[in-house]
Amino acid sequence: MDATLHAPGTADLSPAGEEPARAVDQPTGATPASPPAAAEDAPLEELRRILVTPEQQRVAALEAGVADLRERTTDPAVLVSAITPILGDVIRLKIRDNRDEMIEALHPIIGQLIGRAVAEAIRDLARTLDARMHTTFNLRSFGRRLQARMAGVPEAALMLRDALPFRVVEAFIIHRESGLLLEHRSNDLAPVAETDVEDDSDLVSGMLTAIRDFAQDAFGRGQEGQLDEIQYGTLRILIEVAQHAYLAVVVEGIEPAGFRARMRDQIIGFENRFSAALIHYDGDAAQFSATGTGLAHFMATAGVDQPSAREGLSAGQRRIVAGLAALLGLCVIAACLGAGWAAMRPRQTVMIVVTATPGPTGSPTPSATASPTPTLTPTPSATATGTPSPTALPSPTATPNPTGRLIIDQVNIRQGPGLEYPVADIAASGTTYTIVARNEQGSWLQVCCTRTGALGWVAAALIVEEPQR
Amino acid sequence: MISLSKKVCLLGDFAVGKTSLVRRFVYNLFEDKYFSTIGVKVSRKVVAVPRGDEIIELTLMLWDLAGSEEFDDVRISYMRGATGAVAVCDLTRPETLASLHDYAQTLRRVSPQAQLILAANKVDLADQAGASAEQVRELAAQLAAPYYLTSAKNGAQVETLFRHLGRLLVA
Repeated sequence: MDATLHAPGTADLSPAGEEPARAVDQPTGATPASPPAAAEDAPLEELRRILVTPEQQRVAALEAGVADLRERTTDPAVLVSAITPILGDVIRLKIRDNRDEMIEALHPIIGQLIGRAVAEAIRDLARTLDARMHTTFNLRSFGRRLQARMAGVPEAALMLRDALPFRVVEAFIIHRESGLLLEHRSNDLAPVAETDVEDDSDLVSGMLTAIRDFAQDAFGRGQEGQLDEIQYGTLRILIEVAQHAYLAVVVEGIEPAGFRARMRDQIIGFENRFSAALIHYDGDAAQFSATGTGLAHFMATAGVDQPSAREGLSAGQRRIVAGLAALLGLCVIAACLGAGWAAMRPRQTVMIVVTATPGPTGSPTPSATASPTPTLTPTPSATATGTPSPTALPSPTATPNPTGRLIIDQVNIRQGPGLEYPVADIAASGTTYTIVARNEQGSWLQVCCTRTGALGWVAAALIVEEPQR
Repeated sequence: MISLSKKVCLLGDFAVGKTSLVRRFVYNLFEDKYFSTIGVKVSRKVVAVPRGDEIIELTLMLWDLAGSEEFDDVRISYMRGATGAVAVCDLTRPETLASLHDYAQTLRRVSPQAQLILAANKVDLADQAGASAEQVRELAAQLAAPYYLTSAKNGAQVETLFRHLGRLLVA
């Protein structure tokens, strides 16, 4: 048999005793060099076509498969999308079957988070207690109480603010690895040209990153930890770190309770929103400020020092302002008393009775007396002694959707099935949702509903489907 | 105009002229005392570089790393996230050329994508030169990096070097 019968990789086709060596070098389907031989070997050509064609097709299919695999493994984005569903399943199974092992593995991270949260809570408690200790019944405290009622905030919050004046001077969002400035906001009231502040902010962010790196290398070897605060005189730089970026806030005074948590929410929200851009950051910071990162809102609501009217006033002017304020306060008290009297008058009450009608998703809420599951089967149920309510009967179109429970805290509920979609809500561990749909890979589940009543998407690995009853 | 920022490290032995190169053409906010405290000082150089049909306003955040040995460990941290580096040697001290191998190796381990450019400094002291331009060329070829014979003293080739690096970074 002619050696050209052998396709590459098909040496096992050659009859025993024949030398297959040429088959390796001979291109598949190559015609022998002698034209007369080609003319004479037409039957052989036909035979070769019959024998080799299926093999060639298999080789072509294999090559296509290899090329596809190569593409999947060289393009990080494709690779991630390919393995994400599998990883989700693996993590879910691992959590279900080896809970203790997973806890052990995650302990270094979770333990640190819990430790920081507890420390913060203790600090907050200490501040609150300290403020309460200083509370005495006097005219000032009465005024504060009234002010708190009018503002709709807890009195303790006002006490704290009075006791510990607090001001956010500047805030930086900085790329963690390169130290490049991603966004900067300033509330500095000093008469410095805005351009000057902007000019230096990138240098400050670079040096701040250098200081963080230095502290980590000098003091943090072999242990988990971050530089989370720098103090200089009355100014402090508070730092909250996420995976690819960190938030540095320059403050004056003692931060109110929960401020650290707000910082953390801010930087985690930023990280979630721009995760793709942060992983391969190309130095274009305009993409962050152009779309709005929420840093301006954070600054505006984080205890920004608003110059009060009494600053800069003389003692006499202050007395006049105080007198006017007292008069206004009396008016308000009178109005409150009037409103209270009006509210206490007997009036017709409208009571809205809500009955348990199945919603559009068809997931009836189980109750002790009308649990749909046991009463719908012929098996008698010990708890279902009453006649099943008509509202609990299943209708042909109301197949209950499965439900799922979140297994970790601070889960992002997104507007679409992927990390590139904006976060619609953040939910706590144990929150239960009705599962409405899932994407093709099954890696994202559409759930109902967020706190605003909208549908949202959650990664399948973060939610455990509860058995349907 | 598109504005981009990139982190660039200045690498090289003690007293090769890194800080002088930076000081000549860049905007400084911080004093040099930071070298002796944390081993780095950050400065800024803005260059306009072409990319296709457009002009990019490129801000180079220059991390001038202390050359002394006491900061050897922390220097690696400072190289993280760098997209470019200027490796500086002193033409009057041939041993500073040899050590650039180590700096380049470390940089490529920490930031594999970083663009490297070589600055053989103190070309104005040609009469005291211990290393020749040929040696610099060979070193640059080994490091697969472009090179310039610079002088922080009279400014020779310094601006050109930063512009070249800028083009590499936006390409």
